[in-house]
Amino acid sequence: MTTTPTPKQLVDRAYEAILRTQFDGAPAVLVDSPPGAGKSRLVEYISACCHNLRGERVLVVTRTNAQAKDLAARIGERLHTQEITLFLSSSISPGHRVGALENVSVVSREDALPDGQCVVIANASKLSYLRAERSDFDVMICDEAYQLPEVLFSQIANLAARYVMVGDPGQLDPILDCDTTHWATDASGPQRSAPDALLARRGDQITRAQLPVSMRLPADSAPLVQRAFYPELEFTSWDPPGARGLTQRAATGHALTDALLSLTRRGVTLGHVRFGGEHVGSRDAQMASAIAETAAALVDGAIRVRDYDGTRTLTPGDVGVVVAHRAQVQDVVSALGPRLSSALLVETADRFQGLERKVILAWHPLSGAAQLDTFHLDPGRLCVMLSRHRVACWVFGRPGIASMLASHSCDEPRVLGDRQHAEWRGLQAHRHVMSAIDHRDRCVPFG
Amino acid sequence: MTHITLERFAQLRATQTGQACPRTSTRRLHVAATPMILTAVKLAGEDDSMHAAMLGVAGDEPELFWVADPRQRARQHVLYSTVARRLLAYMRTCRLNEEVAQLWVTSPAALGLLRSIALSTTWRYRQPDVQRFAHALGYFLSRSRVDGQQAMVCATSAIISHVAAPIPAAEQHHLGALIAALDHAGRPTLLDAVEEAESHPMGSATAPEWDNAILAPLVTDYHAATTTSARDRAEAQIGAALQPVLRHMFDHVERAIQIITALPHPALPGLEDVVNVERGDLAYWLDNDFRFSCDENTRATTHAATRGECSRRAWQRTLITGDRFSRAAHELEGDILFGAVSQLAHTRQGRANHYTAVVETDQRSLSARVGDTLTNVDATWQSWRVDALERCGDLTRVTLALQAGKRRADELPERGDVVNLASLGARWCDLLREAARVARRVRQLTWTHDDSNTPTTSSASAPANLLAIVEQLR
Repeated sequence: MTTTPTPKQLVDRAYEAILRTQFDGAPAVLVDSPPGAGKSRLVEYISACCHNLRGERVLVVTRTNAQAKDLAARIGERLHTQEITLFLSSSISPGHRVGALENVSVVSREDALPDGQCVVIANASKLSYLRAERSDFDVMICDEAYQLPEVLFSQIANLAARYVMVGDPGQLDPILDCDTTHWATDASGPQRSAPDALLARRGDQITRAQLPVSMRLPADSAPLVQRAFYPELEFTSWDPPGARGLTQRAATGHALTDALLSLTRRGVTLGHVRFGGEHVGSRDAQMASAIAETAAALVDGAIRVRDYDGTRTLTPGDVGVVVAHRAQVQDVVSALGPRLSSALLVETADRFQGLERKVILAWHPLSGAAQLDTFHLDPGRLCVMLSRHRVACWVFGRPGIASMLASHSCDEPRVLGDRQHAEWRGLQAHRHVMSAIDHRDRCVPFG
Repeated sequence: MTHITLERFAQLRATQTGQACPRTSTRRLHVAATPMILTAVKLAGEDDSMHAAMLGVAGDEPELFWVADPRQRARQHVLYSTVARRLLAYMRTCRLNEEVAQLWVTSPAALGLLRSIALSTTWRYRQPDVQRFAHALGYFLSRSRVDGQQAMVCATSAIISHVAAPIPAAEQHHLGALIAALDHAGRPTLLDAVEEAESHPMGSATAPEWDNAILAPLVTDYHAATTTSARDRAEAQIGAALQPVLRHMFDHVERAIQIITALPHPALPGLEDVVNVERGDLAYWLDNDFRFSCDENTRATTHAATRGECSRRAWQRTLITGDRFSRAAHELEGDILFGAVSQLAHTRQGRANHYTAVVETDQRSLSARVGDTLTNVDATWQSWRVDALERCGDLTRVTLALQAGKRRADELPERGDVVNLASLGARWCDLLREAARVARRVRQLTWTHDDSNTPTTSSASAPANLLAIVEQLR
């Protein structure tokens, strides 16, 4: 008799297999991860494994300084016997969390980097300024590897002999801020993400692995997000259906919020607020007000949130608003007023990458759009919006999105050899999401 | 309202008044002392061929080069070789005179033809003459991809980037129509002028009716000729037929150069820095015998991409600091924080001086976030860190801490002053430093980027219960 493995067993098996690659002599390992699947924990484990068990020089590469500081603090706190070096520009403060750790030292000069067995954490740009032409790290662990553009990876690849790339393939692609048409047909061009370029160039040398469980996404959201954005990456939720939720003792007094909470009580964690009326344009004062009022009703309504870490009252810090445009950030922040705007994060999808909240209110990128373009159809942008929540995500949109998606045909020029035509992938992902969330079981009409 | 909206506004105004409407406050193009003009046409059905080319410095009598039939590859290669010799001689002269080598074509369509020929000649033919052609043309084509470049100029793009013409955007890349729309005085209506201009080819192909009626019979005669003299005669007739077509294009490019030169706008401050970069690039290209497609290996690609990014940032910086239109567009987009200083404070902690300011803005879109470093666009020695952003009704209050510029504290903005603060990128002088940095970083390539290298890793036996052991390390 066979039993279905539990999510923990699935995760443990994946971790064990990935850690073993570090003993098998695998020159490069690419770990594809769904949102909230424990990438940082995996990076922590691999660095501990290579440093403590193999006695190696380990280089952990991040995309930003904030990620480098966060990882240094995380690894430093959990592996307090391990000496960590955070390589940071002298003009940047390492932050209180890092400053409080005795086993994390911060260096800004290249000649202060440690010799011998060590763990060094730095962002890729900082490393690309190293003067040494070749360094002697045994292994380079790239966190958020799909955010690392090939043009940057090519400048730091020679710092190590082996590579472990951990990343989420569904998020926004890295941006190379120059004309890239010359490399459009090049699968390993400088505008590609480092894992995609390496796969195209030396796919035969890469061991591939996947993380099979999303700890972040609830059971209702995970299959929808997986099918829309990760067709080649099977994953499930950590928790069974109904394990997470929002409860209220009394109605909040805000009809829309109460209707959404009622959806969540029925187990729907990814819902759609379908506005009435017609509106064209990304600026939409009524939408901004509705989002702000919903956020206010949530944080003022003594809502109880149930998650893996227990049940407690929802705070402003638990709620996030994700939008597509900067101007929409301003509109929602204005509508929130000074009391809530400083406590509740309102940001564009591009800046929300890597973050999570218990409840997400998402402004659909196609809401009010007069026509579809590659920016709005980008599957990464919608994926970020729909994969930041631990408990519930409600998408606000004007009518007409489904019909616009149905009638749209891709007119961006196809590029020979490019199997990842972004507009086509985006269109498919958007259609999938819209057909799922526009269903009456997930939809709340408004206005 | 965005940058695009502002440009559309200029377009609408031009359409409404029937007059060109400025799109910039400065002239963003340095017209070289000796701009070279190249007009070329292909033979219908031969998309990466050159049937005829006219080449010459503006103001001088141009030379015409042609072949009877570009499908005869050997003769086509002689044409390429001749054009390459002229272009390389021009480039070397420019280098000697420390001038920008600047190649003008009519429109993006004409540029597309050159690009397609350069790519096909680089890949398909190894003859030195043909490769020399790819080398000469490749310099200009490579530069055409880079922001702010001054080497490869499409006449229509150069004009459109400075003025909005009173014709639909779709028609503006026909150089004849564009110039007619700007110069239509003397003709009954703007429409007549544009319609008449559009009857002449201006891109990379001749008119189909003309091909059928004039060119095709001449090419047939050439192939039917049985004697050398008859063939030479037929070839000469083909050249004579193509000459006025190309000359018409050539004259229009000359007129475009006059239009740009006569613009009332002052030169963009900082344009001289761009010109210096262009001079340096020309020398580098000539000395290193580059080809258009040479950037197919990691080193060259990394160089080209980082240089492209650096150039874009430097060009944006030049435009924001030097051009009022560009600055206004960035203010509308929220890339520039534009507001009045409502508070300014100076405190001392020991020997350290701290300056903080609060700027209030009513901008609806703002890209600045806490932690960003913003430079004062009007005083680039001054930079501020964003410490807080607070939205109060329609106003955003931005709290700033001075980072650079403390030694010039007496020149800091005062309460009530309006400031423009933006995240300004690299300067043109950073390009050389970046190139040296990238060269150092990619000198030694590992197996990930060099097929001739193989990974050298060794295996070892892993302990049982590896995950449990790692978890115990925590």
